[in-house]
Amino acid sequence: MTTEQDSSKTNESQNNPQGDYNLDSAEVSFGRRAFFGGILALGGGLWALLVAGTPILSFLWPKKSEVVTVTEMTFEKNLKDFPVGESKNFMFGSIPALLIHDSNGKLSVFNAKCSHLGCTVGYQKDKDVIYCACHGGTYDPNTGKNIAGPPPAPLKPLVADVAADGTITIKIA
Amino acid sequence: MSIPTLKNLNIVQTVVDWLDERVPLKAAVEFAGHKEVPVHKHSIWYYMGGIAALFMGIQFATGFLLMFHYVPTFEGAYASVQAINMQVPFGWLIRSMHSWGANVFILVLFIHMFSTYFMKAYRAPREFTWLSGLGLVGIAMVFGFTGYMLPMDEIAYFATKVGVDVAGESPFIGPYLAEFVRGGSEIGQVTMNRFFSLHVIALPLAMMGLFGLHATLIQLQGISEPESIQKLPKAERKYEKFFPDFFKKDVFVWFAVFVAFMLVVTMKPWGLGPQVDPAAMAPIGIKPEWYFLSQFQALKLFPAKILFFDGVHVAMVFIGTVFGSLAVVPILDSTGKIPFISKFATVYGVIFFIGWLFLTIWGSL
Ligand code: HEM
Ligand code: FES
Repeated sequence: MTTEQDSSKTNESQNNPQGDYNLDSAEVSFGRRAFFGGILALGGGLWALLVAGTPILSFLWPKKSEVVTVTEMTFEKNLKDFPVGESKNFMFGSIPALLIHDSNGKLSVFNAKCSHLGCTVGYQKDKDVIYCACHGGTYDPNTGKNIAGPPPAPLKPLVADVAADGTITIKIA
Repeated sequence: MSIPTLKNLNIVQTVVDWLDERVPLKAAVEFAGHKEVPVHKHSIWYYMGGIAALFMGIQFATGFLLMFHYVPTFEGAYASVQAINMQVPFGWLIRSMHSWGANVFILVLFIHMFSTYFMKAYRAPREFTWLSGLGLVGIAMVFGFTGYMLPMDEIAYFATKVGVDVAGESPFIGPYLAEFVRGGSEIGQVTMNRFFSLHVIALPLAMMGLFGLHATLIQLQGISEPESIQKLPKAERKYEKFFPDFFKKDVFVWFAVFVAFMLVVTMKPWGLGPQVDPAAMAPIGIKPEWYFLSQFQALKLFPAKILFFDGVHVAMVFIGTVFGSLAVVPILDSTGKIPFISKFATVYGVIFFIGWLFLTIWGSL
């Protein structure tokens, strides 16, 4: 196609003394052609992206995970075996949790996910703080309030109930 | 090709001629010989790219071998890596090479990157060489991140957890990105599948493609000379042929580096931490690999709130901008004709390098 056009162009300009004019018009039509070519390429590209991209992205997109929500569980130890100063990291359904028998003699229990970037926090007995090793965040073990380091918010609380026989039950707040 | 008679039978020559008619060998050798390597007091930096290529080869070869024994499941991965370390004959060696190799590879890439930056080798017409090199560094770091998760020991788990959560703090797309990378809201088997297929299929292909571009551009454009050498009178500038003269030295350097590498690999075999327990507290002193330490330290330094923004968000934008600038500043200085910008690029590079080094060392303490 191009060669045909090229040769016709040369022929014309050879036959016509006012070759300039014809050359110009050839350029104009070339411009229009390029324009439509461009539109076609762009449209085709977008179409291909959509047709290929939709199934690929949908294929890769994570499906809604069935969140196993636990509302209540019995803690593995009796209060008798869990004296003041003791602490334990455990799974509350699918979330890591932390139970502390704190210095006030009270049981505190938290969702152990650090409010900064989600590392699992733990209790440091010697300093009496909840500590996150990832970037050095600290929380108050009695209230879960963020007291130092990068965490922007307190730990999310859970509830610990103690029965008469010392059985500990963990519940959502 | 002349038909060999008993008199002039030269087997090597015959085979070479036969091959050359089918594969343009001589043309390739001649082409490689056209490229000249400048000889001057900064020439040592010209070996870094070659060393990086060597380590890329080591990673590909050892990674391929590891796949014969590694089991990419959330539950089974740890046991399989333990078996590689303790039962598979020479498993410890292959794994140690792969783990050490990842670190040395990235170190060499950093040295290569900074040295080409300061020699201003990124200037026209080599902008794409610079950008493809930057892409290779990026891919190598994603390789490191995805690989680090695979053994599923304690540190692998938390490094992945924090790394993905950090990405989740990027403005706007963060939460979607984190969900997408994890394949859900928690790290699990789905995450492992994603990391594994990236690590062993997608990233190797991407790296080979980009390296192909990088190496072709270098072969076509030749090696650049630092400004101080360009200024010298012609008579004082020396060159040698890339092939075979420089290449011979390349091979020697590879050999020496490989021997030193194998010493470290065998004397200090790569260890394996305790198996992950998702309930347990993140281990005290947990740190990412050294090549993420500067970002890690920067994240620590930002306070929880800056005005009414979350500190992490500001930190993410800051870190992204600083690393992104490595793609921008050299392009601004690509003509090298604007003295102010040229000076700025140098000073910027020095500040970047010192800042990066300082944060990396501080982060490791
Ligand atoms: C084709 C290329 C590659 C393949 C097939 C591959 C394959 C593997 C496999 C199967 C593992 C799991 C075994 C283990 O954990 O020891 C692994 C781990 C790893 N890979 Fe790769 N890899 C490749 C390239 C790379 C590159 C280029 C890098 C780094 C720049 C890298 C960095 C790592 C790291 C850091 C680990 C964790 C090592 C450990 O602690 O055990 N890999 N790789
Ligand atoms: S994740 Fe806990 S301080 Fe950063």
